[in-house]
Amino acid sequence: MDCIAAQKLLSCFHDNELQPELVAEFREHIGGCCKCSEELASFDKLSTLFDDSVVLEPSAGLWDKLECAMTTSSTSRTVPAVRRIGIQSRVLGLALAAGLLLAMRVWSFTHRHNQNDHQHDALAVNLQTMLSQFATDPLLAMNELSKEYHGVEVSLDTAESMLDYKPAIGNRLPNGYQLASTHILKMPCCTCAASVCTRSNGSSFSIFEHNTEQQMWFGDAPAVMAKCGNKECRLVQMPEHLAVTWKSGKRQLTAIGVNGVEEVASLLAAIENPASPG
Amino acid sequence: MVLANEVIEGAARGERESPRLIYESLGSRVYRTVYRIVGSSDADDVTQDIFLHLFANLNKFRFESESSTWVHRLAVNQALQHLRRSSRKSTVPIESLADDPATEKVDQDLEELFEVALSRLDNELCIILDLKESQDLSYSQIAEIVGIPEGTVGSRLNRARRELKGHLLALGWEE
Repeated sequence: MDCIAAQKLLSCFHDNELQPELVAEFREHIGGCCKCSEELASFDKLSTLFDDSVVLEPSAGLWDKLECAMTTSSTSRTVPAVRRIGIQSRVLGLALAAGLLLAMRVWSFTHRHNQNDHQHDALAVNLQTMLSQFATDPLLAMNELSKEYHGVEVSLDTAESMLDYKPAIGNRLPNGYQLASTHILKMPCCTCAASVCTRSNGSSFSIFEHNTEQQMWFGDAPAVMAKCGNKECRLVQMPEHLAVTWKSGKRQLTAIGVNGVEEVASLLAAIENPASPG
Repeated sequence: MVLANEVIEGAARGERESPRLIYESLGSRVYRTVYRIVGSSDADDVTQDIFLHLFANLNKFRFESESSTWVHRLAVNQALQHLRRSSRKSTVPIESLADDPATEKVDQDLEELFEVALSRLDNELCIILDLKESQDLSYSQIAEIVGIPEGTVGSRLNRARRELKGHLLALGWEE
């Protein structure tokens, strides 16, 4: 058994779910491989953290509240019926509002046959790769994305003529920030503008301008809706930075690699209210 | 989690004590799963809704799977539904987020740090990992609850554990 095979079986072994006929072979590999044995040991440490974590219990009065709710339901024949209808209509409403795409990303265990979903999944995978590259080299990440999606590096004027609109990023960056490059990418969702901006310390982040919100880019990463000035934006927590997406006029802007909410606020202020000092 | 079929049948028949027995058997475990998905502030309310829904639908249980698996599947679905509903509604002022959790090392004790790291896992991975580590369910039970092939559970757990470790290290955990 080599490392690739052993790595795939680490959890199965750790959880005593490994097929018996593979156990001896797995043990033999682990016995002679520092990398795999160290990773297995780290799984043990995580299990210890679970064992030592606070035991979560419902509040003491929850059964009383539950009993009370049940009593209320049973004393009125109309209440349970209304409640059941309410639940069903909420589910239906949710399903309609969320739409097929969101549902498939939020709970993406099911098979995917639709061509659009294939495209979006491919996009999500590529962007996930790019997002991790941002920690080390944003310009390289953008170049790779550009190769993938037939991108061309252009000036702002050329971008305007290709897109029929001037990218919102234009000359609206906060003080101390510079536009390093702008690419036009032919992504499955639309043709969009992707710009890399640099801070005064030389670090970078990217801004995408596209026609529709791209929730699936970030999968199920933790997110929060925030009000910034008069704009509602969605902040997505990535391992080392933030991504933020908001509607700007007819289009959607998404900044990836932002350093905290203060930078989000200054970015939105500069782009959405260019008269502000920035 | 042991829940006798007779208790479920009794509750479906309207026996007075059966709902309480079901809650006593499953309440804590359901709450823990719900807590991991929706967080502390809504966990009680969502748990209450789950049990109300469960009691109203006990006659639909077909005894083809383990009752605990069935209840957990219901709990996971209800909690995720709550999360989707609330995530579309809640908007907070950006000023209130000034302590940026994504970029700041967390100066907390290990238990708090662990909770923060867990909360950064995506829902799917967090649910699967919690079902294994906290609830000690088998891969076949987890597969049935979340609706994935049993053979996929191990790879999802590998990913969950690696990502959890990554979040912990980013928060300053010293392995």
